[in-house]
Amino acid sequence: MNMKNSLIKITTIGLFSLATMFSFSQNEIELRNAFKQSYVDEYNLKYAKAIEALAQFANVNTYEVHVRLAWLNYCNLKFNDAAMHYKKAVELAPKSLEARMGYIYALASLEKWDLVIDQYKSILGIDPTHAVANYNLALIYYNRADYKSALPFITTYINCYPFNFDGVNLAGWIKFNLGNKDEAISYFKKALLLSPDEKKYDTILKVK
Amino acid sequence: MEILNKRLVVLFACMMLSFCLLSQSDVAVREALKKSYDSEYQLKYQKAIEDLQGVYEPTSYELNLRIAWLSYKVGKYIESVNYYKKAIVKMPLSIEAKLGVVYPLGALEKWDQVVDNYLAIVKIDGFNATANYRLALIYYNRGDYGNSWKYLQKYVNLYPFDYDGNSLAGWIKYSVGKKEEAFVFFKKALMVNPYDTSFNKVLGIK
Repeated sequence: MNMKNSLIKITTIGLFSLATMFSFSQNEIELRNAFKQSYVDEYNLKYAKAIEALAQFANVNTYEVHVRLAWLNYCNLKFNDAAMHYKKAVELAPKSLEARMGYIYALASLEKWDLVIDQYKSILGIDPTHAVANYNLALIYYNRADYKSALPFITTYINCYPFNFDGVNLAGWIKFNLGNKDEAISYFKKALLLSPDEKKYDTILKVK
Repeated sequence: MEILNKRLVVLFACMMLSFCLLSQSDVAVREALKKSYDSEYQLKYQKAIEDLQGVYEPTSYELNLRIAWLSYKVGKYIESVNYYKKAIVKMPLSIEAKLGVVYPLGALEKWDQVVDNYLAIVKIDGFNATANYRLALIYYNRGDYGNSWKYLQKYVNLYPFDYDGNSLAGWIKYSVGKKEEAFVFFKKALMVNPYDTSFNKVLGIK
C-alpha cells in the first residue's frame, strides 16, 4: 500500500513538473493574447487601441513589452512616451541594436539630435561597421557643416559599400567641402555610374 | 604675332577641354550604364549585360559588380561568381560584393563557399546581422549546433525581439537538449508572432 502511494505521489509530482515545464502560465497566455490583439489593432492603424491592449502589462518590466509599447507610441506620434519605453528597453538589453534604432526614430522626431548622435555612437561601440549608424552619423555631421567629423564615418561606410549611391554622393560632398576637389569628383563620377541621369553635379563637373 | 595668337587660342581651348572633367571614356561608361539600367528595368537582363560589353574594364569594381548582378539575374551563376570575385579582389573590404556573391554560390549549391564568404564578412563586420543569422542557419541545417549558436548568439543579442532569431535560437537549444532555454526563446517568438503554430507540439499547445 505504501509502495503504491509512493508511486502515485512520484507520478503526480512528475506529471505536475512536466505540466509546468511545458505549459504556459495564465499570465503568459494573457500576455500572448494581448500582443495578438495589439497586432490586430496595429494592422488596422488603431495605434491607441493597440497600446490599450497592452495597458495591463505596461508596468511589467520586460524588454518585449517596452519595445512593443515604444513602437506603438511612436506610430501614435507620442514621441516622449516612445522615447521613454525605448530607453527602458535599452536599459534592459544594452546590446540591442533594434531598440537603439527605434529610440533614434523617437529622438529624431523630438529633434534631440545630440541624443541621436549618442545612440548612433553607442551602436558603433557595439558594431563599429554598422552601415546605418555610420552613414547617418556622417550625414548629421555633414548637415552641421562639421566635415572633418563626418569623414571617418562615411569612409567606413563606403569601404564596406563602395557602389552605393548615397554613400559615394555624400563622400563626394564631404570631400568637396573639405577642399579635396579631385577626390570629390572621383566620388561624383562613381555616383553617376549608379544614377546616370543625376544632374546635381553638372556645374561642378562642367557637364553641359 | 598672329602665329603666337593662334597658339594661345589652341592652348586655351585645350585647357578648357581638359577642364570639362568627364572624359570621353567616363561619358561612354555612363551612357552604357544608363542603357543597362533601362534594359534591366524592362527585365531584359541579357541585353543589360550586352549594353556594357563595349565599355567593360576588367579592373573596374563597379562594372564587375554590375555584370555579376545581371549575370545572376539571367541565371549565369558561374559567370556571376567570376565577376563578383573580380570585384572582391578590387575592393577586399566590400561587404556588398560578398553579400552578392553568396546568391550565385547558393544557386550553385556551393555551400562551403557561401560559408567562407559569410565568414569573410564577419571578419570585417563582426556583428553583421545577415551574415551571423545565415551562418547560424546553415550550421543548424548541418546539425552543427555549436557553431550555429556561436553566430546566432550575436544576432539575438542585437535583435532580441526578432521572430527568426528567437525561433532559430529555440530550435538550436531544443536540439542540444536545453529544453527550458528553448521554451524561453519559443515563447519570445510567439510574442512576435502569436499566430505561429510551429512550436505547438514542443510547447504542448493543442
